[in-house]
Amino acid sequence: MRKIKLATVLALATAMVVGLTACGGSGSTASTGSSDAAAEEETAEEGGEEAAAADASGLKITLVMSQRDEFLSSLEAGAKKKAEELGVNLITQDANQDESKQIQYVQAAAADGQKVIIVNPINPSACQSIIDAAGDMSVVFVNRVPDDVSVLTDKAVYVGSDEHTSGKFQGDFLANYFKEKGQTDIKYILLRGIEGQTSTTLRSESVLKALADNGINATETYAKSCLYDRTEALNQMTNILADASKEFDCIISNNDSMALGAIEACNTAGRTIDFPIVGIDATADGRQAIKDGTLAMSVFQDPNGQGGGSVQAAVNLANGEALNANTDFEIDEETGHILWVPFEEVTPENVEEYENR
Amino acid sequence: MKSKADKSQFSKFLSDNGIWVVLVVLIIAITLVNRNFLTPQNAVALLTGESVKGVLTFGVMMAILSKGIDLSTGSVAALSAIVSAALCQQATATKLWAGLGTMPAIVGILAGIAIGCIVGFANGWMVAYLHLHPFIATLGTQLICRAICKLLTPGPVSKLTPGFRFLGNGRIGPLHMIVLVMIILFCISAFILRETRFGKSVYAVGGNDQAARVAGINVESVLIRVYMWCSVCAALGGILLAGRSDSADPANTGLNYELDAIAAATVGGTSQTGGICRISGVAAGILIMGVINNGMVMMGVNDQMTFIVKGLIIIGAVAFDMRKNRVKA
Repeated sequence: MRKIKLATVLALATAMVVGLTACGGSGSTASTGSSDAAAEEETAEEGGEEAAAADASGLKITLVMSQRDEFLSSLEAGAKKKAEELGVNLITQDANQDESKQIQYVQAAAADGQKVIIVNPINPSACQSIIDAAGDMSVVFVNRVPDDVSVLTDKAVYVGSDEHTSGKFQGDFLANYFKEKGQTDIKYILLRGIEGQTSTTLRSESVLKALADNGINATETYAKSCLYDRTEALNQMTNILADASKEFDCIISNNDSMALGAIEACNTAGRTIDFPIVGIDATADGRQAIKDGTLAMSVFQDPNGQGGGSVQAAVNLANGEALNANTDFEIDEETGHILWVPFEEVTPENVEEYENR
Repeated sequence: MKSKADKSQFSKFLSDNGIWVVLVVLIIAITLVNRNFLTPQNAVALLTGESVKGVLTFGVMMAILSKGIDLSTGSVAALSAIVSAALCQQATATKLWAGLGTMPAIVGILAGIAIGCIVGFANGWMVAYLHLHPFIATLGTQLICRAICKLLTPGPVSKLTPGFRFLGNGRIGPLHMIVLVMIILFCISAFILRETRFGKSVYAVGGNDQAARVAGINVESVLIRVYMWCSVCAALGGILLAGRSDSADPANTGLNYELDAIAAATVGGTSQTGGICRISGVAAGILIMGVINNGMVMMGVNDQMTFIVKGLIIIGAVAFDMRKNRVKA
């Protein structure tokens, strides 16, 4: 009996070790192998960028994701693609919306002696605790801008898009649309995202500001949170459409999903869409709706640009180069520590260009 | 003759402390892959990262020992985190409860602990007097506590006072408070289980509640105290979490922590059939979970692999324990 017990302990331990080392080994070998290959390819193809690729190869960088929704998964894919191009050994970890876990990942990377870490922060108001946990490591925040940009320094930067401009594209579009009709007083419905999220606040604020700046007098008919959710927007819009007293000239949505819910509600209620509905994200479904003529326009947030940009920025920090070296993006003039990945307007005219981005 | 006795003692030691053997082997294996694993800096990262779950584990361990379970610990941690954090927001922060001034840290901490006492009493009362299965009773409080969190605030409560954050984030010299709290809780748990009448009663109730009753133990009172202990540990965990990350989020703080705590207690040899638990084993269980979490990052393995390894270790550990306990019987 004792022998059996002893054997079980040893077998269990051995199994774990074999399992662990096997997956560790294969994981790192595979990535090093492919990155070497990628680096060589690049050297062969483009002589000009040879130096940057050579400097970056072998650099180990951890990317800590806040979670993996549709957009952030594309961002992760963009980061991986860029890492492969540059020969960076990029490891992604999903903190699954757990801030404690996020800090844990940062500390582990610091203990591993990594030079720089990319973090997609869960809570933009608690970025200082991430910087503290990083110790000597540089930090690249991606996608969610710290609430307090004064935490940004030479060793803590942000790569992402300026949510102040996403709504501006919507507002400018609507202003032009109504000016062409000779209308300056409009009533709007605003479908808001999840309350308390920075994106919801800034997208809503910036669209209304752009309308006002363009001399449009906009009055709110209805403005409620539909949680960025298609079904929720469908339900709320169905109720609004049933209420004849609620007049409106356009529907502004904080994202495409809710705009699509609104379109669905109009179709179900038999209401002709002879007014503009505008969204943000330019998702696959959103782009289809633009082609169908139901969604007037959307705003493209570039996940590849953000993901790839964050990896390039991390490499730049590690090599002591300018934040925007080897990118097309601009550095924020005020802070000097933000790399802006621009939003882009998507309309029926240019929607085809976004098919494979 | 003598050598045989030595050998049998050695294998008994190995069988009793198999979990520590596994831990050591894991540490050696990971160190072989990445030498940075075995550094003081990483030990700090590992321990501070696991402390909250450790604190929750010392709580749920007691519930499992009494032949119960507590699924509400993650939500209790969240509720405690939000209420205590809201009481201790900095003057400049966007306050959850505007008009309410910034309270001294101790008020926030006590408020969180009080929440633990209330929920724990409710759990224990339902198990002891309504004879609800603990799985159901605590599933109910899990849902209720999480919903109250979301009713209290739509978004995270942030920018907490340094005084309040001290437990979760502060340090005395090289010693991190959050780790110290876990170690103190380990000592208290060990003392309760080994030295107090209450501890012995929990073993007795978990082993056979009818026999315990015949022996003159007030089973109901023991159960209520067990669940109160468990929820107070969870509430303390929530206070640590809020302090550590400088925010308490209604949707995500402590989410699924109850499962990690149950897993750590189980890997540490706490038997789901009740009445069997060694505090040293539970400590090893917590450390094993931490070594896997941290080691996987160090080895550069992508994160889904972590869950696969964790799953295998949980299954392996329980299979091994069942075999050991059957052999004993």
